[in-house]
Amino acid sequence: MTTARIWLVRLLSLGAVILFLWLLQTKISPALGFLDNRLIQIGLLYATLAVSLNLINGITGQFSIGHAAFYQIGAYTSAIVSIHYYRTGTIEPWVWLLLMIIVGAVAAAMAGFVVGLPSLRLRGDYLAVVTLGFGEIVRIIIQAQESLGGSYGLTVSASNSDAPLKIAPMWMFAALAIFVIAVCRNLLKTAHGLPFLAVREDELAASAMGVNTTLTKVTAFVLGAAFAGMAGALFSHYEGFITLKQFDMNQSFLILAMVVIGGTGSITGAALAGFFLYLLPESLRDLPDVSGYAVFGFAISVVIVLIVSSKTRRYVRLTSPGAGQTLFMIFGLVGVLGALFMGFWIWSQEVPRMTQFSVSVLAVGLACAMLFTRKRMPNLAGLGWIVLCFGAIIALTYPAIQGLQSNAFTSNLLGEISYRAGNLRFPLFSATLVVVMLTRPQGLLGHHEFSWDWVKKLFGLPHKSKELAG
Amino acid sequence: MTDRGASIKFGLAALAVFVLMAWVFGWFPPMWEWLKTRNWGLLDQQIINGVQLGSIYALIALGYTMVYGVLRLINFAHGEVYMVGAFIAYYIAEVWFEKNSINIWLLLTMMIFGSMIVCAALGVTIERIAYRPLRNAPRISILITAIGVSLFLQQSLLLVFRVSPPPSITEQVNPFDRIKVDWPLFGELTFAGGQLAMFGMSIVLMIVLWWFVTRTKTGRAMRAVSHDFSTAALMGIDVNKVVTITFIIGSALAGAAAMMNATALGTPLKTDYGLLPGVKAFVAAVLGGIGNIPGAVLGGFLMGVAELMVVWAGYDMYRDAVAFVILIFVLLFKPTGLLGSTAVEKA
Repeated sequence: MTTARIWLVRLLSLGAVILFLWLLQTKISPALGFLDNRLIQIGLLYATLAVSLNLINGITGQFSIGHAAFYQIGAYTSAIVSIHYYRTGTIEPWVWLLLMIIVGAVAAAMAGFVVGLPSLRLRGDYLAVVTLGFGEIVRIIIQAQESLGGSYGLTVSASNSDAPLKIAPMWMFAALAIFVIAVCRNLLKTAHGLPFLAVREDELAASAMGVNTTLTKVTAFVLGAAFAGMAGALFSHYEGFITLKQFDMNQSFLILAMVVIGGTGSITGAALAGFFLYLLPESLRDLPDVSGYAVFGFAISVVIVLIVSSKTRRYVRLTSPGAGQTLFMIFGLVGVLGALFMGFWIWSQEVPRMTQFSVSVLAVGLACAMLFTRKRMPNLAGLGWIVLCFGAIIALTYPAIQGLQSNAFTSNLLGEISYRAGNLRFPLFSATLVVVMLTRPQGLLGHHEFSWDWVKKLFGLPHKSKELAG
Repeated sequence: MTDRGASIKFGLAALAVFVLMAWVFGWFPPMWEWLKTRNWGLLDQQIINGVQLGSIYALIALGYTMVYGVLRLINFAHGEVYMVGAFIAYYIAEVWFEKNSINIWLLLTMMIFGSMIVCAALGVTIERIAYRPLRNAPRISILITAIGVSLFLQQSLLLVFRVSPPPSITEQVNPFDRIKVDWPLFGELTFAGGQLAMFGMSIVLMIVLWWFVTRTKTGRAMRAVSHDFSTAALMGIDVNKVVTITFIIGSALAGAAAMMNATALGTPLKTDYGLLPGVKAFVAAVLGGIGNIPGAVLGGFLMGVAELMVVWAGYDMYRDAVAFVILIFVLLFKPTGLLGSTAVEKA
């Protein structure tokens, strides 16, 4: 491509981004309700955070598990600056917010520098525990400060009013996510990004080839932290009220899980996983009430599916190598999900227990048969395993359920009191985490970037296999 | 990597600069004033309490360090296994104490063995379901699985709590509090009976563990696997059996620690019951050199004492932070922990 054409493409994509942001702010956002808006905004925020951690963890291979600390530092610093210096009416809110994002980025980048320094001497799990410890230290120090609200939380307000400052517009979230993704992508596309990958693959070899590993690692920490600080500043000016609970260890783990599930080192993977892993538990919030038996039935279905799939996977590998596996996996996934929901639904109905149980077992069995049967004949050994598992489970669990019903404590737990299904979202979420890791240890996209190739491959269209470095 | 001599020199230089700065800026007079206002009479008592708390940390840290030694896995679900241990102990106490006819010592025995057995079973189940299929996967995915399991246990417990709130009957169950041991040699030093029993029990458990690891055939197999996983497998050691035994022992120790903590200190049961003790014990294991059994015990005691020293100095707010501060400083000068091997780990 000629230089002029490259510039044309750049200008056009910039224009497209601006058009998209304008559409988002003026057309899409007003059409949605408050909750939908919030879901999208926070989802984009998590996508930003996941991509920023991916830079440290996935691309540079430095094992950092305290990312919420940088997020927190950005949020608190910008909040304090706003509380002391922002006067409503003096400056456009979004301009001020841009300034605050820079402030948050600088503060978090300094923290990233401090954390990046030990990474020169420590590696692997030792570095992980130091980053974790840093996160905890930051949280505890903030908790001890009265002026930062301590454990009560901090209201972000202007200096001349007490009302919480909620000035983050929708387009800003999208713009920040796009900015961070673009920086990471361009970093990898240019020669500046190659040292990061080299350090990940083999630090010793990289330094032997003349890569300044010290500079590379510290840069990764500083950049990743700065991005997280930006997200933090945006978050504090969106919520108007921040508490320590929003930045605790579980938050760090959640961001890390997003990166790993998306595929360590894959920018698109991190962004997609960040967005959808936030939406997953939130979208389960409004489910109707269910009885304890439904929960129990669901748990049993999960266990059955796990056992059967672990026993039959090796036969699947033997019988169906190579082609057709993608289609096969999709059918299997749909089948398993269908079975799980069917089991869930049947257990929540008020029909005699044994009927419920046998029907839900049958449903799960059907789904598993779908999962482990190719277009041709099912492998007899695999089928044998399935039947065996179901036989054992029916034989074992029916008396167990009767036992649970006859005991006062457990029948109280399971039967009389119904759960709000919304409360089940975090157990479900964490179970999903485990299942995804068990089935795809490399993450959903592995080291690859997202592409439509697999869809094309599915329908037999021409495609080219393209891989990013790594 | 710089050599150790350089890091020691660097440390000494940093210390010298610090002292010089302190002197220049006149920190010494305020420091003396500060030292004079401390409650020195309480110091020895707090150290004793710290050692007792440290024994709990040491027991949990042993589970972390053994699993790490064998599998090179940070078992983040270990803190939740500890939590489940406390939970089981509480419920055993609630179910049996109501009847009032049961001998208190029998009840305590039931509590400690009940929580040890349930924890061991839980640990083995977690290993079977969540860790074993991933044995050859990248280590970060196992870590995420561990985090997922830990979240799952926490949140499931929260679900149970919504239906039946956690019991709080420790004051009635704990018979040790009636015992107070004075130690005339040191004047006012007292030991609460519960803490003393807790300390003694954990020392006994540690000695049993030490005997097991160094004097039995299975213990030798465990050390071999910890030294080199694949070679041990080649030499005819049943690696899966060793891993299972490791999880049984580590989780049972966590269960014992949880029961002792729940009865002797009476910490209220919440869903984050295992979170901070778990993380602190993990830090203790890393401090001692992860994978190293004496190191975990040393680290646990250090953590306990340091934590209560901070409380003694009047900085209650920072008692949870001190573990991490010590860790960072130790790792900066000795990157593999206090007793850890000096071999360079390839991440």
